[in-house]
Amino acid sequence: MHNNIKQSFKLLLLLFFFIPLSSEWHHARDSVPTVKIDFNDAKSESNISWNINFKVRPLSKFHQNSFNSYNHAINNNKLPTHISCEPVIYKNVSALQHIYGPIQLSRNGILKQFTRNYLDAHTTYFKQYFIAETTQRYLDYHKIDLSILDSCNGNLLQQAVHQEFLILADTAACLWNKKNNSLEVKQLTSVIADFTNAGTLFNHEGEVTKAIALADAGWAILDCIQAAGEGIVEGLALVAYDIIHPIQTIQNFTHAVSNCGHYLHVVLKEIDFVESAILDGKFDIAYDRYTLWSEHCSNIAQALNEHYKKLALRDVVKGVATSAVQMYATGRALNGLSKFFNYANQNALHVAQKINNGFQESVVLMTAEGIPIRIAQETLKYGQKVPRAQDKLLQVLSQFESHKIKVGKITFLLDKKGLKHILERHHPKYWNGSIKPMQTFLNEKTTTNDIVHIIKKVIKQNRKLILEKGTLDGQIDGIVKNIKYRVGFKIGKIGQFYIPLKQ
Amino acid sequence: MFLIKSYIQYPNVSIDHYKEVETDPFHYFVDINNTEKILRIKKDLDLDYLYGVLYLTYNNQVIIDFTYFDLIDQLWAYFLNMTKEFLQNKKSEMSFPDQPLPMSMESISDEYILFSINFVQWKLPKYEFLTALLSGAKDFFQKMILLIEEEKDYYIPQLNKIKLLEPKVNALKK
Repeated sequence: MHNNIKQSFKLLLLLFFFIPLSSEWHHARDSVPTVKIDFNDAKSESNISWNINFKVRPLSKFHQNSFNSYNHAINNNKLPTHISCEPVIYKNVSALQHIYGPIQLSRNGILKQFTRNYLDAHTTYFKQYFIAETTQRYLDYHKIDLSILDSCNGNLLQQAVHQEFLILADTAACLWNKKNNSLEVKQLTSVIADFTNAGTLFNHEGEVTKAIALADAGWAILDCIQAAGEGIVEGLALVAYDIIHPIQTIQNFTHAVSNCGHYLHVVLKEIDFVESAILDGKFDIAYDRYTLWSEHCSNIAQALNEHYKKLALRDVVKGVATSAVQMYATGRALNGLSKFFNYANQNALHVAQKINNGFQESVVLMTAEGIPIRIAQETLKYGQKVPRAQDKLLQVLSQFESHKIKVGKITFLLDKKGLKHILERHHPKYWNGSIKPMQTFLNEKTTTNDIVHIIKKVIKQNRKLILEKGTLDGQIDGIVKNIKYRVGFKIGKIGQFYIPLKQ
Repeated sequence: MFLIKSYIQYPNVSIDHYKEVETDPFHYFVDINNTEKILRIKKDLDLDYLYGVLYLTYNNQVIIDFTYFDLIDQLWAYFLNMTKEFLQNKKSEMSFPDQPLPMSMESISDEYILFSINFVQWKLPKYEFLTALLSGAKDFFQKMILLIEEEKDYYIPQLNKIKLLEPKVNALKK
């Protein structure tokens, strides 16, 4: 019974997440894939409309098999073979669209069933999957436990996403296997391995939106490798020719890069969402300086992985496996991003040197070493659009009005600037990420009203002292609900408010 | 022998982690004696939150280094309050203006004071230490009045405090 309630709650959350996610895809930018899901459309049956402005390429044998097995999985679950929605209009298609397109289409169909509350779609079931030998070697090489991919216990959508990760892993494995001597392919497929690991784990835990974001990012990276492999990009000519069919125009590479930036941004956002309490400020800094991303991501990943190890010991006793897996998955996903941005960092110097030596920037950024830099730039562009701790802070400040607190003839003022400083330095939700030798935080649930209320109480508790000294400067301490607070002011303006060490 | 120097953090040079400043502190901070530079950056300084460093050494051992950057004008004012309280009660405590980093002074004999910062304790000659503090504070506020006269309402009372404290500290001289 308890499990049922939990499951229903997860589904409700899932539905809640999909609505903003779907609207998230309506980017106006030309370079971003436009995906429209009309949840209100009840009449359409098989009107799948494609607006494709590129040459449709035949699937390679490998991809044909993957897609067939994907459809087979769906058919086995007695789903209508028609995807009964009119959801997907592809514009600016990216290079791997011939594989990813049908998968996305099927995924959208299942999403639609969820929104229509089809019972079949919500039923959870156990299913085993076959992992090809090449894929097994690829996963082994990247230290991914095969057992996470050989079966899935989940609803229809989870099964579909699981299957999608298998196809993603198969594709990456093939590329990795055939072009093992290419450093670029090695590095980028290693990122996909991390995303596959993290995404599968998220999916098993019912965090399907995060899983889908990771899958999308994985596909986008494959897109870029493919574009590179098609001879568009110097140094990687014919890398992927055996696996993927050629495309004709250089424009597709630009789109692939744009999409990649978009999806990596989505991944960052999703991960940020999972660990928002810990990560809020960190990613703000990361947005501003993408060169630091790798460091931030790897530090966080390491911290989370350490936390996971600790949790693992308690799993059996306390049954917190879900939280442990989430931690591990987040760590693994961040690890993927870390690798990616590290790779970009490593190449940045060479690229800068080439540009300094008179090479044209746009040309250099399309070389093998330029790909990750270009994607990182795209990610940065999108990243700046994400609501950040700073934006949340501005929102809170816009609703705040200055407070005057009188003690005799002395007036203390808490204005927006003072509150901004307090929140940025000492509130975990709005923290600007700066680290000083000593740092304490207010309770995460502390509101601005609470802050005003506590400051008033602290001043009231020090009334006698303030009147005696006639002071408008310095620090005063007070205890509210058994917690000691320190208020600092300068010429009557309240500028600091934090919890001192000594309670 | 004590050495005290005051620095101001350059505007628009953010410090994400305090350890960043260890390798190249002068990338982040400017000496208050570098008036030309301070006048140049003055318009970009946030005078309500003026960050900087109170750098303190004793016989070449660093007591307060660059990683302890904080609101420098308030930190100096707090030091004056702390000195005043110490002279009254033979001990005093405070924390940095913008972080709960604790500091304390306690008289352990007629000649020595136990100064503690961030739980590290220093046995220091009382008179020399307090004289160095007052002289450092005086130097800081006098220069700041000239450089940033907009804040003189805050700096003048601090100089008055120093005037009152000087004879009391001088009385400690043996």
